[in-house]
Amino acid sequence: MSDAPIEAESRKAALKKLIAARRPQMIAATARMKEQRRALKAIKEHLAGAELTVPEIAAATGLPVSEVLWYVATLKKYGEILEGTKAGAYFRYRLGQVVAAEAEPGSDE
Amino acid sequence: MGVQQNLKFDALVLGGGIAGLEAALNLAEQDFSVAVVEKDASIGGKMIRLSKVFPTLDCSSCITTPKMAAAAHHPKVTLLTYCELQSLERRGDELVALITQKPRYVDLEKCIGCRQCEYQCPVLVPDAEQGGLAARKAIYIPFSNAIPQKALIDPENCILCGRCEKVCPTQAVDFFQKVEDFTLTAATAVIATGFEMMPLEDKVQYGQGQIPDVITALQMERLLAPHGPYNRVLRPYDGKEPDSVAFIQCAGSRDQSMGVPYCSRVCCMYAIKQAMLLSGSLPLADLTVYYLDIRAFGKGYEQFFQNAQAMGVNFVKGKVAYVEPGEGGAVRLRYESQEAEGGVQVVEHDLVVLSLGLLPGWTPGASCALSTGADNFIKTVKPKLAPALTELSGVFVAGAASGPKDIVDSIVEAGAAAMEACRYLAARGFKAAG
Repeated sequence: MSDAPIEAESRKAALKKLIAARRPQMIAATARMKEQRRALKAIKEHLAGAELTVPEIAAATGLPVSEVLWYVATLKKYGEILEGTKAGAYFRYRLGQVVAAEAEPGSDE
Repeated sequence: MGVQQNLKFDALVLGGGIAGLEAALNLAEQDFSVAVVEKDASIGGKMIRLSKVFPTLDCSSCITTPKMAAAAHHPKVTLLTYCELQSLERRGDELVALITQKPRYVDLEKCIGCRQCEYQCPVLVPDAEQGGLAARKAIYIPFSNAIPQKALIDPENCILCGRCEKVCPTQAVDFFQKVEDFTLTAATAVIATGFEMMPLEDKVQYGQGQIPDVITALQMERLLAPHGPYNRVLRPYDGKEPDSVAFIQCAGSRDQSMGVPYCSRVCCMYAIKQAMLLSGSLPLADLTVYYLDIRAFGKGYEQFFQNAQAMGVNFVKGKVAYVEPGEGGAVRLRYESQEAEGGVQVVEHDLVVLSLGLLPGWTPGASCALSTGADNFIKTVKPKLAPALTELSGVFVAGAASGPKDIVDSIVEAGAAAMEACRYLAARGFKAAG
């Protein structure tokens, strides 16, 4: 669907042009992504070695409870956290094995 | 962005939902070549997004996927997904459609649907396929049984970081794709553009989508589906298993003040179905349906309603006038009771499901000489004896494009539209299978 196969040398120029054309939405999307990364980092940190419910994660991170659920559902979808035991009417969540290892102190986020 | 090519088929089917696929397969089985033009990135329409269907409680995905696969693999059917119809007009014996192919930024031929790009993408976006209750990535495959099982990039949220491109094993990512227009010529067409749910954002009485625990029926379908956002039914406010769930019927339908005076026909039955499914997944929860009348008109529907009552679903005759946030994520309802107690009642529930009115999925406007009725759905010229006939010769209509209807009626009408299209083709010398 592209106009023509873009050669390696002209690709860089074409990408620059594309970035310039999409700059406003890229700036907004990057800002959202940074906010998401902060939230995800906070959630994963509090889940390291712990099994928590959504309201408990919200209380620990200071994030709105419905926002925490949105992140928890997403992390669960991509296999980064697992559903644990039930606590009353709520479910507890814990980190998946790979993510738990990454969240160990000293590892890069 | 010039017109790149001209495709030619015996028949064009507009819409790749269950009615469109049924019509396309019927035409293809008669050996006619068919193009299915679908606006979404996957075929399957609303039905593939449902949990189960009434009154049989069949798994919706299980019975829709084979139909989708049959269309995808049929040698006489060509699927054109992620395409928008710009115009459809008759030129002599032919119908000429001008269609825009939206860019996926992923090469359809090269993508193998491995999702490695999706796992690497760092940007989260509310996933419309899950009612916004979880996120997808900026590069994504729409859902697990999407056809085609190919990725696409959402340019509004892509930050051009290049991670997807680096990880793609087939070099399918192409940031430089552009919108392309093409023409499609056919002798006949079937319009199967389905429905959309009335938007919630302008409904002050229902919280304008700002109360987390007031959700639409399609969001409840996702909560009930095996691959839903939480894999179980939880309150979107805080992840609690709800103790009481309310269904508000005619939330926007049969209400002149909201612009939808007609009955949306399917809401009573899907609310009953959802209540029955909830009684299975949340056996201790109180389930209440607030209704004006229960319209259980189809085969087996009245028995289905009676089964729900026998299972303990509470039916309260009364019009809900207003919903507002209660304490701790609860939702407060004000309704005018038509039961013995009468008067205005105030109750609280953990989760409220709105049976919103159905609106046309597509209106022709200036793009096509088809006209619409007072309800904005496609006008049919012989609604009793030939309900698939439109004002435009050779153009037929099927499913919810001509008015709200359930899956059974949509399938039946799709068969009728395909038969009308076959007759139209045969009369003009096109040969059906012998």
